Parts: sequence; structure tokens; C-alpha cells
Amino acid sequence: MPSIALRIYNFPQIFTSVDVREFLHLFGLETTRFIKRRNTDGAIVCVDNESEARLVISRLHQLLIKTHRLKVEYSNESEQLNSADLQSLPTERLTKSKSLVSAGEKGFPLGYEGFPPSHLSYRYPKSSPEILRNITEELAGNMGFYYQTLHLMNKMNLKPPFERREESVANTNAEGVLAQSQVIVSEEESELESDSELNVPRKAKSVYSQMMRTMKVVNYDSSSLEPHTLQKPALKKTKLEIHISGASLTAPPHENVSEDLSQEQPMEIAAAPENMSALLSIDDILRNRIPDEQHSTLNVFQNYSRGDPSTKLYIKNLSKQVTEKELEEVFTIFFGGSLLKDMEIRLMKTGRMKGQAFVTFVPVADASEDEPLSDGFKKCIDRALTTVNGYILKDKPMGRLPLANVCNNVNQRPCKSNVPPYNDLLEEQHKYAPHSIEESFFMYRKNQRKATFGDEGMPVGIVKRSQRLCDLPFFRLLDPFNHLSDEVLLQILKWLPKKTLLSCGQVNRRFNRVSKDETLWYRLDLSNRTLQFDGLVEVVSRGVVVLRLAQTSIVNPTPDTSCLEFSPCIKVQYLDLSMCTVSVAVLGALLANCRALVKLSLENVLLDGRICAEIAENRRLESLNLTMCAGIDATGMRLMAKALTRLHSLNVSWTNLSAEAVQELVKNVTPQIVHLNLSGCRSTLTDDGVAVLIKRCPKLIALDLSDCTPLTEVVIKTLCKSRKLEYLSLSRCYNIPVTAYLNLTELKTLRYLDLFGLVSDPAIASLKHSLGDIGINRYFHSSVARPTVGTKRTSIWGLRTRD
Amino acid sequence: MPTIRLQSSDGEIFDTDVQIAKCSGTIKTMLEDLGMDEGDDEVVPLPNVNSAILRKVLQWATFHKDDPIPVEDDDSKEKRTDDISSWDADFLKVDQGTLFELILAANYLDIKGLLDVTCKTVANMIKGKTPEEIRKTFNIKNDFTPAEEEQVRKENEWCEEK
Repeated sequence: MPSIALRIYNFPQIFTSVDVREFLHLFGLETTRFIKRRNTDGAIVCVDNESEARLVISRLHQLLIKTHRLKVEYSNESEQLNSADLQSLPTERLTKSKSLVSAGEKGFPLGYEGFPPSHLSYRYPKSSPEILRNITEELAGNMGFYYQTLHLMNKMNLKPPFERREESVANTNAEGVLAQSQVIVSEEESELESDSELNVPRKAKSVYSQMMRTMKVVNYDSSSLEPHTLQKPALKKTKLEIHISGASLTAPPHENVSEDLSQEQPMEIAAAPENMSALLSIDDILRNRIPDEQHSTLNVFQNYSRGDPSTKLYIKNLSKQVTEKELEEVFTIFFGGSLLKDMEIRLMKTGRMKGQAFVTFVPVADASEDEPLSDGFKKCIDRALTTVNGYILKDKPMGRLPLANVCNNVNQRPCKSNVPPYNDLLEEQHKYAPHSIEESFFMYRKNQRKATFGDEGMPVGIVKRSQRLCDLPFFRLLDPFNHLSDEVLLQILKWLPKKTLLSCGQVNRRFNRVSKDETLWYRLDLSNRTLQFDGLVEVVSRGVVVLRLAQTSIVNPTPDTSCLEFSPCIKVQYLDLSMCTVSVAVLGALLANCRALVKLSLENVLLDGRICAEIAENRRLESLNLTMCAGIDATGMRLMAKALTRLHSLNVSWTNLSAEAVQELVKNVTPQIVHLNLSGCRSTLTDDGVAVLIKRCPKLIALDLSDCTPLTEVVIKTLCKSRKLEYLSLSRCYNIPVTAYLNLTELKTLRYLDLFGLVSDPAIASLKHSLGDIGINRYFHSSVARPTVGTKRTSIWGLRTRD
Repeated sequence: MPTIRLQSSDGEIFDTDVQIAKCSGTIKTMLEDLGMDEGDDEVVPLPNVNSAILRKVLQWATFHKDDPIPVEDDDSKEKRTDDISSWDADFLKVDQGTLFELILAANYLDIKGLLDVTCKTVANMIKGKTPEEIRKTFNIKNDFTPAEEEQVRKENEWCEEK
């Protein structure tokens, strides 16, 4: 039997005893008795022991339920179960407590998944445009919600929302909502009506035509809504906004629309088949169209040609809001009752063809293809063409071109009728290049539609006949790359060698643009060629990072280098100019634009003071190979040694340095230097110089002092003070006696010693014996700072230069 | 074998082995994001792929299901276009339209292996061709003005072999 009684009270007033019991039940507590305290229900519960009681207090005491904080305290009352209180509980209030608790308490067992239990009913407000808009916004921002919604629609067997819906009147809820909004709109619009006369500027007319559409919805039938206002749910928001924005525009001077349409205008064509045409007449169209003489001023009508008469009309420049139905209305009025049997309308609302439509007129006479059409019918089409061309339907003048038998007679189709829209659309496509992931996703979807041309671009019947865009003869002339985004085009181009990339750059504007993408030009090997300097400028400006120009001849037809324009930020980081043929002026101009160099090789190239200064500007330089370069003076050397503080490897072998330049080097070179090649300082590097260097650069691992003839045995002692030296070359240092090398045993870190051209083979053998593990004469060539070592000629400093 | 149901843009449902479907990064992410349990009867809608292409894609994925997971573009690896396996080469003996739709699908579904091999195939169709030949191969319109064309030709002159 429970031993400790707890009193729990201060529930919100709306909690009935049932709610209280349900609530406590969630926490595994069985209510033994209800109490009343200050008009609110409370409960006595019993727990087994002290620790459970504490747990209950810690969980529930001060728990906030709406505005009330629960209170839990020990109760001294004797436990008597009052069963009467537990019965006859109203269930309707149960729901409230549930939702309240779920809001207040984490881990509430009723999850968000699945449907609520059938015994619960939620008091959600009826849907309103406001609420739907909020939900749409939430849908747009919350992917989880969006997916769950799709799931829900799926589970509830609703129609998938992925395709444009044929308007159905069946939908109940949305209808009500839209009907509401329509009412609002119509009220506001009525305020806009004014009595000013016909003579309206075109801008106002376009507003007017938009209004007219909205108005018509209201006028047509007050009891039932016109079907075409029903949109798929995702579009509701936009749809509503369109109406509202239209309604909030300041009143343009225009005629009283409803009056005009319904009363003043007599019907031109008597046999109007449907009610709708009561709202639109040829006069309306004539009044609302741009006169032919003004067409030449508008881009839309450039290259306009009527084309050969046919039963199919092609319409472009349609507003987004135009529907098939409206097109049907427009064209129906041109055909007297018995002439037209059917009208097939293909309106492209998405993809590249959006805003364009084909209207095929099917005459009543059962004419086979060979039989000529009746003259009357032809005239009707002709009249429709003449009249509707330039008609402002929802803001945009329709440009129309007849198409002669699209499907059978591709070559006879007037060329002009095809090309201009195609061009426009290309431009448009470029304008809407993807910006964010989200957008590019939709961009992509668009492309996909174009590719399959099934889903939304055409009515279903058409799709079934030819599944894919490329199967349609009309589209044979379009190139498949238009379906690909730039990113995907790049995916293709990345597999092409540079030479083909250059060809691609000449195909068309888009290829040109994409083929210059810097990811395609990351590495480039132009060794062993002759290059025009301006060409080099062009290619380097594409964002090359790894550039090999070894043994390249760079010629400059124009002696003036100042006129050459580099892109402001050249990205070259690894530049191999070894053995290249280049004038000092051109090299200076090139290096003047390089500021991001990490590794540079100028082996056997003529330099001057200016070039040295430009090199010194590359503060990130880690490797510098100046082997056999001529023209490095003391000033240049000082600049480089002082500025290049990140230098890791430096090779200035055989550069014919003056004594002064050598001094500048040893005094100023960065202490960070690890590999240094000073060979070939035949008369300028002394024992003292080496002493300064060793003291300054404790990190040296490799040091090449070959052919520095002034060095004597003193240098060996100096070198022994080095802490990290692993490689040392003293080849052809004739002033050092062979025996002195034995002292190198003191240099514990030394692993390789090169002494070429100095000692006889037997002497080498005995040295090897004496020096133990140290490898002697292993390396003929210095690799310090060199881009290409050994047989690997397509990589510089270990980085590939070819794809 | 757990399966999932993939729905193409035209509504066809493909019951697919989960492991095969997951070669698509897009589907993999979708499944993870949705927390779908394997064996669940959920339908994954693929609104950008029609049934003809989805069938092809799944055919490819089934054949390549045991391939090692492709790594992101490795800079140290050489870019070759002559390493298309004979099965893939046969698989891609399709008309241009289908080939490009496969590229789009592979890109949308984030199937790197398929994207690479399809792009390589198109690249091989471009390789070694002059600008005019490229245009002819794909019906590409030359939209350069004569002046631009001259300018572009100059831009690309620097690489003439010596």
C-alpha cells in the first residue's frame, strides 16, 4: 500500500479533474483523490517511498502550465480513494490539457508523427488566406516540414503536387479560401473604377488588362467560382498576392470595365459558343492592342514575319498569367459557330519555351490533309492573326507568327520565326544563372524539363506522342548543351586537353565563357614552345596556378611592355621559367604582376636589379632557384635576402656573385632557410662568410659549397658547429686538405658528403671507412629549389603540370 | 534485401534495392534527412528524372553497385578519358539526347561515377575537333559577331604549336 501522499495543486483553472488525472497519468502517477483549492482542481497522489516522492517533486513542482506553476507538497491527509470523483468526467476538455502539456513538457508521449488519436479533436481555427500564407512560408523555409507534408499528401492519397494541375472544381477548402479573397478583391477594385475615357496610355492599359482579368472572375458568376482561379496549393500564395497587388495599385484612368464589357459592346460574331465570349469581343482586342505602326519600335516585333498561312499559329511573348483557357477565349471569337470544330492549344509555361504557345485550328469539315481548307476558315485564321498580333493580354503584347506545318515540314518553316525567340530565351537563360544552391536546384529542374519536355512544358497528349525534346523535329536545331547548367558543362570540359579547350573557347559565347573557368586552367605546361607575350598574359590571367615554361621562348612583338594588361590578380604560385628565352623587360613585366609566388625557378635566365626587386615582393616565396642566373647585384641580393623571410630553399649556384653580394646574402638570409646552394662562388665565399652563415641559420639541413675555392680546413670546424646539417657538398674545394674531412665525424647529423673531383678512389674508400655511415659522392646534381629532378619532367616541385 | 520505391517524374514507381539507390548522393541524403527506415513503404519522388532515364540510371547503378566509393576529385590523379570500361561504353551507345539526359540525371542524383563517365563520353566527342566541327556535332549556334570571333581567335592564338 502506498505510504506517502503528495498534494499537487494550482493547475490552471481550465483543468478539470479529468485533465488533472490524465496529466498525472502521463507521469505514471495514479490519482487517489481530488481536492479543490481556490476554485481549481488538485489531486492527492500516493507514491511508494521517499525517493519517489522527491522525484515527483523535482519533476512537477514549479512546472509551468500555461500561466500556472504547479505546486507539490507532502500531504498529511489520510488516503481515501474517493471513487465518485473519478467518474462521469466530461471528455471534451481532455484535449486542451493534452495540447497544453505537450507544449509545456518535453518528452510528452504524443509525438508529432502520425495522426492524433481518434478520441481527440483539435480546436484549430478554420483555414484562412492568412493562415495558408503563413503555412506556405513555413513550408518554403523548413525542409523537414516540406517533406513531411509531401509524406502526408502521399499517405492521404492526394494528387502529387509536382505537376501543374488541371483545374478541378472538386477541391473544397482551397475554393472557400479563394472565394473569400476574391470577394475582397472585387470590393477593392470597385473603388478603382472611374469614368475617364478610352484614351489611355499603354502603361495604364496594361494595368487595365490585368484588372480586367481579375474583374472577370467576379462578374462571370457570383455563385460559383471560375475554375481557372483554382491553382495548385503551392501557387496559392502567389496567386493571392497577384490579386492583392493588382487591387492596391493606384487607380489608373480607364473606363468602367464591367460596364463596357457586359453592356456597351455588342457581339460581333453572333454564334458565340460559350458564355465567356460575352466578356470579350474583337473590338476589345482591337482597342487593347498595339497598333501595327508602333511595332517597329518594340523589340518583340523585330524580325517579325507573318509566315505562310497555315492552321497553326505560333504565339510568343505571352504573360506568365495567361492560361490556355484565356487563349481559347481570345481565338474562339474569330470563328463563327460552325466553322471551328476544335482548337488544340499548347501553352508552354515553363522551360525555354515559356511564354509561347501553339494554337492549331481544327475545321469542322472532315478535311483530309490533301484537301485544301475552306476559304472561310482560312480567312478566320488570317483575321485572328492580324487582329491578335500585338494584343496586350495581361501586360505583354502578343507577337505571333504562323508556323507552316511544324511537324512535317521542318525545312520549310520560315527561319526567322524560329531563331529570334530562341535567342531571346538564351539570353534569358544566362540572366538567370544559378546563384545559390536552392536556386540552382530549380534552375536544374527547369533544364530537366527542357530535356525531357514531358512534365509540364506541354499538355499530356503531346508528351505521349514524343517523349523527349530531342525527338521533336522542331527542336532538332537546338543544341543539347542548352539543357546543361554551366556547372555541368564544366564537368565535361574538365576532361578536355588544353588544346581542345582553346577550340571550345571559339565555339560560341557560352563555351568561351565557361572554357575560361579558372578550375580548368589550374595547371599548364607550355614548355619547349614559342609564345607571344600577350598570349601568355591572356592565359596566365585565366587563373593558372601551376605554370611550366621551361625552355620556352617568350617573344614580344611590341617593345613596349607597359601597354600589356594583366588581370589585376594573377594567381600563379608555382612558376618554372628554367632555361627560357626571355628579355629582361618582358620578364620584369611578367614578374611585376606576380605576387603570389610560392616557388620560382629562373635557371639560366638574365636578370637585373628590377627583377630581383620584383622577386622580393613575393613574400610567400618558399623556394627560389636562380642557378646560373646572371645580373644579380649586391642590392638585389640584399632585397631578396631581407624580404623573403619564408624562404626554405635557395639556390644561387654559379650566379657569379660579387663578394659584396655574397656578404649581403650570408648576413641577411632568413634564419628559416633549410636548403642552400652557394656553389660556384669561386673567389667570393670565404671561411668567415660560412661562419656567419652557420651562426645565422641553425636550421640548415643541406648546404652546397662546391667550387668555393677560397674555403680552407677552417670551414670544417665551423661546419661541425651546425646542429642539423645532413647533406654537405664540398666538391672541388681544393684548399681543404683531405685529412680535414676526417674531422666531420664530429658532425653527428651528417649523412651525405659529396667530394667530387677532389680525392682519388682509394682515398674515398678509406674516407668511407673512417666516416662510417656517411654516404659519399651520392649526388651529382644539386636538387636544391629545383623544379624538376631526375626523369620526372612533367611535374614541377612535385606538382603535376598536365592534366 | 531492403528496397525503396522511387517515383519518376511521369509517375512510374521503381522498387529498388536500397544499396543501389544509395549510390545516388541525392537519394542517400534524402533518406537520411527523412529518417526513413529501410523497408519502409515510402515513395521517394524524383521529379527531375523521367522513367526512361531512371531505368537507365538504375541499370547502370546495378552494374556498378560493387564499385569502390568514388573519391572527390583527386588532384594528383591524372585526368584520362580513355579509361571507360567496355560495359560503360556499350551502355552509353545511345543517342545524343539520351546521353545528355543521363548527364542531367547523374548530376541531379549526384552519382559521381555516372556523371564522370557520361561527361567523359561527351568530352571524347569534342576532343581534337575544331570549333566548327564541335558546332556541327552538337548543332551549336555560333553567336559571335565577326569582330568577336576575330578577337576570340586572337586570344587563342598563343598556343599554336611551334
